[in-house]
Amino acid sequence: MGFGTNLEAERISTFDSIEAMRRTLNSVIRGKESAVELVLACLLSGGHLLLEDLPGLGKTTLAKTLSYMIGGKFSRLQCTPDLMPNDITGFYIFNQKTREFEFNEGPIFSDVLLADEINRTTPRTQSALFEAMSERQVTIDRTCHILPETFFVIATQNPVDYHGVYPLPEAQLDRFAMKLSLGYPSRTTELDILARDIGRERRVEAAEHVITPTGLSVLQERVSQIVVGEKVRGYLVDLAAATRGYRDVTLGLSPRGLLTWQRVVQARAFLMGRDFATPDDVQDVALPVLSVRLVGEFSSAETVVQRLLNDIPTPVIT
Amino acid sequence: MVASPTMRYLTLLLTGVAIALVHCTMRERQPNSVVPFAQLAVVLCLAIILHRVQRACQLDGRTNAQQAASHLKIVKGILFTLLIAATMLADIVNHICYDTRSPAEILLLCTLRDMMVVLAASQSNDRAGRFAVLASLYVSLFAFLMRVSSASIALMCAYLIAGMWWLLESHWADVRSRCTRTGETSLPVVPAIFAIGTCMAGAILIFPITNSIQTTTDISGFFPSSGGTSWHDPRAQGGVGDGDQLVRAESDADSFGPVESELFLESEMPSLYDVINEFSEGVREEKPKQQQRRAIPLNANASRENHENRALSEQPGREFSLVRRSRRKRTALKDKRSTALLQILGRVPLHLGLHAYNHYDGHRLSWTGKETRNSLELETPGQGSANWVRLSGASPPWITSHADLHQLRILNLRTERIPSPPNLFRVAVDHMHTSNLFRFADDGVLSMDLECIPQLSVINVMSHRLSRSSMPDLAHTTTDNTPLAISTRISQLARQWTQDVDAGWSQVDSLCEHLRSEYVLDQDATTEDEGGTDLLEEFLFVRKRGPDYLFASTAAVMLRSLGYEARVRSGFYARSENYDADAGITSVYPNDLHFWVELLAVGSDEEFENNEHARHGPVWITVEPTPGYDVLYAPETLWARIGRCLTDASRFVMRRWRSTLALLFVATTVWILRIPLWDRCLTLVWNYDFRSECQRDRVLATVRLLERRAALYKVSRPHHATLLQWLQSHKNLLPDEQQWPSDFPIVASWVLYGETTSAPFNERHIATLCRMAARSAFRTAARASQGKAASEFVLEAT
Repeated sequence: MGFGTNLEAERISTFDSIEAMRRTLNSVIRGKESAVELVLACLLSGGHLLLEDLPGLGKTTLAKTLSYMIGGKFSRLQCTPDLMPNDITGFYIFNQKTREFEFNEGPIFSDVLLADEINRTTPRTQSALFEAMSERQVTIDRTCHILPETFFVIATQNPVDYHGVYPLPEAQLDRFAMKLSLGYPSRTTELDILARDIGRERRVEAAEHVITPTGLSVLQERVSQIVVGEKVRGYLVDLAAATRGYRDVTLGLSPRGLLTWQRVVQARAFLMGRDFATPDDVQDVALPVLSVRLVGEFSSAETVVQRLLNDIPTPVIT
Repeated sequence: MVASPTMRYLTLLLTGVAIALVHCTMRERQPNSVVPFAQLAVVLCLAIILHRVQRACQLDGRTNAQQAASHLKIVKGILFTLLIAATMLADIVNHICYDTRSPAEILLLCTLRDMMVVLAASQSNDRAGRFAVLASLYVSLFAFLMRVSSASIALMCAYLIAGMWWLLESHWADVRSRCTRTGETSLPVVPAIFAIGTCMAGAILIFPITNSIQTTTDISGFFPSSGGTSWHDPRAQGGVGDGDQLVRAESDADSFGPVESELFLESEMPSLYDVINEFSEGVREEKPKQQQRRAIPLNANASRENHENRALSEQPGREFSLVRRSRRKRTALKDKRSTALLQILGRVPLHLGLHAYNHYDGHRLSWTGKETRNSLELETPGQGSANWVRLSGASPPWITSHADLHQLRILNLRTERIPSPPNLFRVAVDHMHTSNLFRFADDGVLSMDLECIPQLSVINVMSHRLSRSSMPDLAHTTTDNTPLAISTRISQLARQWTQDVDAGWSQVDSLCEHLRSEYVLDQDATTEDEGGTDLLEEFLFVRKRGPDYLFASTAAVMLRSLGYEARVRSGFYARSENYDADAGITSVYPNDLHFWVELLAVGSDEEFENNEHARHGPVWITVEPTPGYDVLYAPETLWARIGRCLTDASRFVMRRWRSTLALLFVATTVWILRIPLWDRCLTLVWNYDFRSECQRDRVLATVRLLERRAALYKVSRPHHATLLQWLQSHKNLLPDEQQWPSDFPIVASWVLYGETTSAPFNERHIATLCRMAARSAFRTAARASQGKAASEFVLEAT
C-alpha cells in the first residue's frame, strides 16, 4: 500500500526487516506493541531514546535486545556517581614501549550505547555525551573522533528514586528524540510472562541480529525521504508555536526539537507503510517527543500535550 | 498566515456589498443604461477566469513551481489590462449609445472596483484578501458619498456590520496565532454580536447629534471629484464646473432663479415685484383694467442698479443665484432653461387643480353657475416669515387633518390660476402685504389678479391632508346643483358595482376599484365625437380603455347616479417619479395634465348643520378613479401603518386562501424534510464536482461532501480530530460495516497530505471508493448517533 515508486524486491526486503525487528522486540517485551512501535520509530529516525520507568519493567531488557538486534558494536555503561567523563569518551595513555601517547577508546565508540541509570551519574559526566549525541563525534585533546552513522544511545532512568540522583540538564534532554515509559503489563501478559519463565535458563539468551548497522543506515535514509506535505508541516509549526505560548511551559519546543519531531513523524509514517506523513502520525508521536523537552510548572506532560492537541485544529480541507 | 474560510467569505461579502453600492450609484446616474450591468458581468467573468487560472497554476505548481508562477504573472497582467480596458470600453459604448460620458471620478470608481474584484478573486494570498477589503472600504465610501439614497444607506449598514465582523475575525486570528492559552479557537459569536450591536446602536445614537450632512460633505472632500466632463455639466457634482458659482448670493447676484431672496435684480421679464421710486411711471389711467398689472411694491434699495445681462437658472437644485465673491473676471453665464411648467417643493404625489367641471352634456365637460366661495383675509403678520392669506372658512372644525406646506415655483405656466392642492386654506407670496393680489375664479379656483402669474414667481400654499382612516361623511346631491347627464345603463352598472357594499366611502372605493382594475388607461386613445353616441357608454361597455378624462367623467357620472355630490377637476398631477432627491423638488411637465374627481363632504350628523356648511364653505375630497394615480393623504402614524399592513396582509391572505394554504403546506413539508433535501442538494453538487478529470479533485470533492453532510447531521468533525479518527468513529457507529469503504480514509489521506506521491490504488478502485463513501457516509450513522456529541465518537475511536 503506498510504495508505488519503489522496486518490489526492495519493498519486500524493507518489509521483512521491519517485521523482523518488530517480532524480536515484541517477543522480549510482551504486550507493549505500541511502545515497541515508538521505539522502532525512534531508531529509524536516528534519534536517541530515553526510557523512564519504574524498576523491573523491562527497560534494560528492551535496551539490550535493541542493541543485540541491530548488531554492530554494543557498549554498556552503568552510570554511577563516581563515573568520570573520560570513562565514557576514552583517554590518551602513554605507551612505555612505543614512547607515544595512544588513544584508549571509551565505551562511546560503539554502534549502540546503553547508558543505564543515566541520572545516577554527575552532570559533568552526563555532559560528556552532548557532542556525541548531537553531532556523532567526540573531541578529545583537540582530536576529533568520528562515531558510526548509526550511533544510537539508549538511556534509562528511574523516576521514583530521588536519592543520589542528578536530573538530566535541559540541553541534554533536548538531544533525546523521545522519552518512553513502558508501564505495567496487563494481567494476561503477566500470566504469559510467568508461564514462559517456567523451566527457562537463568541467563537470558542474546537476541539474534536481525539487521546490520548498514541496513539500519539504509532504512534511516529511506525514512528521511518520506513526504511531509505543506499542511502537515504547517500543523507541526502551529503546534510548536503553541507550546511556546503556554504560560505554564517555560521552555517550549526548539527548532531542533521540531526537526526531530518531523523525523520521528516520517519514521512513524514509514512504519505504517505509507510514503507520506499525516496529522495522525504527528499526534501519535507527540507525547513521547514533547514529554522529553517541554519544561515548566505543569504536573504532567501528558496533560499539556493533550491540551495542545485539543487547541490546534488539524488541517483537512482549507 | 493563511486566512480562515470565514474571513474569505467575509471578504467576498464586503466586495459584493461594495459592488452593489457602486452599482446603486451608477444606476441612479444612468437609470436606463444597460452598460453598467454588462460591464459588471464582464468584470465578474474575468474574475472567475482569474480564480480558475490561479487554481490551475497552484495544482501545476506541485511539479513546476517556477514556471507556474511566471505563467500566473502573465495571465494576471493580461486580465488586469482587460479589466481596465472594460471600463474604458464601457465609457465609449455609453457615449455612442446614450450620448453620455462618465466623469473622471466614475471612471476611477469603476477601475478601483475592478481592481478590488481581482484582489478578491486572488485571495489564496492572504495579503491580496486584506488589500481587497481595504479597496472595498474606499470604494464603498466613495460610492456612498457620491449619491446618498435609502438603498445605499441600507447597503452601507450591511457593509459596516460585515466589516466589523471581518475586523473581529482578523483580530481573533491574530490573537489565536500569538497565544493559544485558551481552548476556545473559534470567534465567540455572542460577544461578537454584542460588540457589533453596541457599535451600531452607538452610531445610531450619535447620528442625530452630529451634523450628519455636514460630516458627509466634509468626508466627501477627501474623494476626487471632477465636477463633470465640461465647464457647465448638468451632472456636475460640485467643485469644478459651475460648482464654485453655486453659492448663496449675498451681495452680488448674477442670475435669476425661482427663489425667495432678499436680493432683487433688474429685468425686463414680468415679475410680481415692482420698485416704486421717483422715476416710476405710476399706474396709467388710460390702460383698460384687464391690462393693468398688480405688483408687490419693493423698496428702492432692494434692487441694485445694474444693466448687465443676467442669466436665468431654472434647473432644480440650483436654487441659488450664481455668484462669484472674488473680484476676478466673471465668466458669462448662460441661461439654464427647463421644460417644466412648475416645480413643487413638498410632499408628492399631489393633485394641483386648475379647473372644475360640474356639468356634462354627454360630450363635453363644463362649469355652470358660480361657486359661492368664502372670502380672503390677510393674517396678522408676525406668525411666520411670510404673510399668509387665509381662505376663511376653508378648514371646518369637523375635518381632522394634517396641514401640508408646498412651495410652487412657476416656470413656464401661463395662467392666472394658482395650481391649488386639494383643501387649500392658506397662501403666501414673499413680501406680500395685502390680500388683493388674489381672487377667486367662477369655479372657485384661487387665481392671481393678473393676466398670468409671472415666471419665476414663488407661491407658498398650505392645504389640509385628510387622514385615510377618518374620512368625513359624504354629501348627497342637492337639487340646486346642475346634475350631470346620466344614462340608464351607466346608472345600472354603478348600482351593480356597489350593490353589496354599504353606502358612503365603501361604495366610492368599490366603484373606483372596478374602474382601476377592469379598465386600461390609454392617454393616446382618441374619441370620435359621433352624433348620438355617448362617449362614456362607449368607454364603459365597448372600448374599456381610454384617457384619464374619460375615467374621471365616468366616475363622476356614476357617483352622481348613486346620489353623491361629485365634480370633475382638471389640473396637474405631480408625480413621485419626477422627484429629484438632490434638490428635493418635483418638476411638473406639460404631459402631467390630469383629470380626477372630487366629492363633496359634510360633517357628521351631530356636528353638521346647514349654517355650518354655509359658514365654512364646501369641502371637496379628491377621489382617483384612474389606474396608476394616487391620492396624497396625511402621513400615517407608525401604529396606523402597522395596522394597515396587517389588514392588507390579512386581506391578501383571505383573497388567496387556496394559494396561501398550498404555500404553507409546501413550506411545512420543506421544513420537515429540510435535512434530506439539503443532503440531496449537497450530493448533486458532489455529482457535478465528481465529473472533474483530476483524480485528486474527485477525492477532495468527496471529502468535502462528507464534511458538509456531517455538519448537516450534527456529527461534524471536531477541529482537533484527524480525518482518520473522525472517519473511524463514523465507521464504528455503522450497523453494518459492509456499507463502509474501509480504504477510503487511506485515499483521502493520500489526496490531502500525499502531494507528489503516487496513488495507493488504481483509478477505478479510487472512484468506486469515493462513490461508496458518498452513497453511505453519515446517513445511517446520523440516525444511530442521535444525542451523542461528535467529540465522543472521536474518543471512542481513539
